[in-house]
Amino acid sequence: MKDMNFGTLSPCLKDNQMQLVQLLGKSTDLLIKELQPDRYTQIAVIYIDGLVDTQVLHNSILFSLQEGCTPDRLKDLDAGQKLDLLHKRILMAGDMSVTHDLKPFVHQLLSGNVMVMVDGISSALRIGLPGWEDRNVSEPSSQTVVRGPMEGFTENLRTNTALIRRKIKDSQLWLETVEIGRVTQTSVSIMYLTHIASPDLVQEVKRRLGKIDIDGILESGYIEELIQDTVATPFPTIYNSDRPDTIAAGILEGKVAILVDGTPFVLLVPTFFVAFFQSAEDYYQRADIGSLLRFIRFLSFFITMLAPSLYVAVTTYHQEMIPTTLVISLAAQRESVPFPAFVEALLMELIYEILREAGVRIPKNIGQAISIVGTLVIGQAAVSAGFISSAMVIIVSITAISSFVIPETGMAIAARIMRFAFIVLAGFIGLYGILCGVFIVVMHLASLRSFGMPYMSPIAPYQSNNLKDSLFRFPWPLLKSRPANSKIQNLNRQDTTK
Amino acid sequence: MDPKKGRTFSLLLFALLGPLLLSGCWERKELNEMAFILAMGLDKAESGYKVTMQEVIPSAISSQTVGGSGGGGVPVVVSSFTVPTIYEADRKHSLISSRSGYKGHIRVLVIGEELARAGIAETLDVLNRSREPRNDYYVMVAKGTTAEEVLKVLTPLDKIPANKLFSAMDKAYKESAKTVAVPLYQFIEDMIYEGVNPVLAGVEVSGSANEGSKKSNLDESTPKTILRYHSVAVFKRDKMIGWLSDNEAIGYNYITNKVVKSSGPIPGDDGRPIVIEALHTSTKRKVKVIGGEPHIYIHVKAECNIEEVESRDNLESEKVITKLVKKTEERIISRMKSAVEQINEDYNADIMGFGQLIYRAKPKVWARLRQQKGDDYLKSLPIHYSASVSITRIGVTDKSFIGDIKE
Repeated sequence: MKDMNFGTLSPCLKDNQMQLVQLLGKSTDLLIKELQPDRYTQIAVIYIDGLVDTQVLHNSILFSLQEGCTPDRLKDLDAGQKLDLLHKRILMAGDMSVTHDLKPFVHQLLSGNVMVMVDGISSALRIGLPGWEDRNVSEPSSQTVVRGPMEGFTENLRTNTALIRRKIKDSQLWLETVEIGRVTQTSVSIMYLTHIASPDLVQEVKRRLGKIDIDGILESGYIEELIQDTVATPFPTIYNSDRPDTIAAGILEGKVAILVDGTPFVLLVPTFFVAFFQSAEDYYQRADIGSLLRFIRFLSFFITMLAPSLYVAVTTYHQEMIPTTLVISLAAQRESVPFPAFVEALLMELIYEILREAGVRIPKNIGQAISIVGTLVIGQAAVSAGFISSAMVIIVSITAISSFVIPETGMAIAARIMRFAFIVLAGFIGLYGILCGVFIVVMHLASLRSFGMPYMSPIAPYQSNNLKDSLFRFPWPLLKSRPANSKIQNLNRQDTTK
Repeated sequence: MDPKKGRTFSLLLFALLGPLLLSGCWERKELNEMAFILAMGLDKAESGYKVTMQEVIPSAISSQTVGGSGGGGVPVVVSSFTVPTIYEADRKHSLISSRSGYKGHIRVLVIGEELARAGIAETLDVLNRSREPRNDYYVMVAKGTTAEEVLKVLTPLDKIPANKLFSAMDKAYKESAKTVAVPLYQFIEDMIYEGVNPVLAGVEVSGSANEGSKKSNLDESTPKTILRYHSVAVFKRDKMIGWLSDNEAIGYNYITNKVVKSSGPIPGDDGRPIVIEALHTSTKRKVKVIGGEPHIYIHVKAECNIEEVESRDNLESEKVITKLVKKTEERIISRMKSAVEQINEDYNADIMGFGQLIYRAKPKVWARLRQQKGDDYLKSLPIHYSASVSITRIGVTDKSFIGDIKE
């Protein structure tokens, strides 16, 4: 990338205007409003159309300039004093500062600030007045709950930090922002509770963010991939959510939230395997159902990963394991199926993945068509045509449904990918292959780390105390301490002396 | 670990994982490439054996068959082979069948009476050795007929005859004590253990087996030919020596703690029967050595219900119930006693396992007993019976309404 050669601001207003127009390539959304309150004073108001709140600009900034800059107030003042007058007396805005160099000047201009310049001084007045079209805070779409807050993050970083601040009103909730992306200059904020989060962790997050050198960050997914511990893994090692309550809960447990401007998905580090099977709702409903649902989610994870491969292994290698009545019924179903069970399973899983992808991509108003094709053609016609067995349809359906039980899609995707590997293993060497596969996956999981902390904790390394809120969800009165697996500073969630 | 070493290590690991795949698709069999043998029959032939296999036709069983005719036709194929050794039957089977036989789902093994009397140890080895069958299928003797005949018969209700034989046995030994359910492994154990002889259930064909093998047997509400469990075959080592009657079978089952449920009539005061059913029974057997001689103590505990009353006895009265309890106890004892006496007299085979009981409790006493009396130890073995019965329920009414009928 060719770096722009930024000069400095010149005392001459005309020069500055020329330089700006040059820099921005005569972009037509660069607007410069010139004012001349008296013969010796020239003021320019510079902004990018669409990035600033035009209403406020007209009613407040331009109006004050017009009204306030009377010739007798400006009389006998030099340029610096005029700028000071504007700054301190005339313009009324909360977010104001003085900029001296061209580089921050351009950056501020492009992030929704109004710049006011006075001829004769090489400084500019910055007025923060961002005002662009924004999506409202609406219900989170990816992690829905029945009971719980119905607000989700938006694309606006400031809205997002406000949503978290509204939940944690503590002076120790610190927010730090950096700009990442050489071209996009995206604001990336980290939020954490300084008295809980481990200082090493915060340091590490900052270090990894600082190391990023890329031209653009358009979504938190970029950041996620750039700062994760291991690239070669199907498992997500960084949690993301568009629910402020989930992120706030993570911050309260000493984790660090990473917010990226322009996306509703906020990252949370460090992350553990068990976190992907927890839903915000677990904590809002009674503890018993919370624990049961977690068990069901783990079960679904195994079903979605292993069901087709187990079916292939058992029907082609271990027929003695199936109850006699069932094996005869299965044999009858397979009677006119031309493919081996292995090919049948691969084929059906592929067809399902195609259907699923089509369902996501297809325009909403013709979505009906895909479901009819999916259910009728694949479900009904393929079976009666003897193309596949109905048992396989059941297996694929249960696999598909189970994959939606896992609250975080990243983990469901990992299971979906590994499912194919397991089918191949089962097709080659049966249950023995599945066993080998599971063995390798478990070894791999045990080797993973998220920001240096073991991914599988509290299962490996085993921390019995932390099982209270990982595999199970104990009632709140019993969850006196925060989970210790993020190596936090302060463990006491409730007063433990009582 | 430095990166180069790590690389070598992971490459080595992959090299080690590679051989896992070398076994390839060894032994891969699709469900529609195999013939499920659900029952096997063994008979004596003039030279060697006659092996009968009952294979299921899946498409005839399943209500939801794909692409095929479905639902029609006979549910099983029965094929017999006269072979010098049992294993040879598999080879012969491959000559006639489009699918390879699979023994992993054998439910029953039927042995012809003739073969059973001649001795069956040699024939069971191949089944015990093969890794396909599970060894927990039931073994039975075809009473007065051949295994082939038994396996030929088609059964209504349970379309697969092998399944019918299996489920009927599974239920029959629990609901009536007149038969025994012996899986293969137990039969072999009883054969090789010290001081015990095996028994097997008997199955008989009532009607003509040839008629029963036709589909028309399924078309009538009263099938012409049926399969029925009847009496118990007594073995001495691996040779069958005779049959037990129903009453002896019940006695035998009481002694060996195999009774789950049993029922029988007890005469009331007026001589008319009251049927009492034992619901939970347990038998405790003990050995005591008195004066150097082993004594067997058998105690039966039974919890009973009254199921049917034809007598006019007043069941409301405590006295009547106590009397019934006493009579039931006596009856159980007499059943066991007469069974043991009969078995001793007819067969002199220790199917009750008294010898083993002594051997386990007092090995030295057993050794002396064997030395002194040889195989005839059973005849002079003192056995003491006792029973405690409790009648817990008499049904939803007390005394029968029969007595209240106006003359």
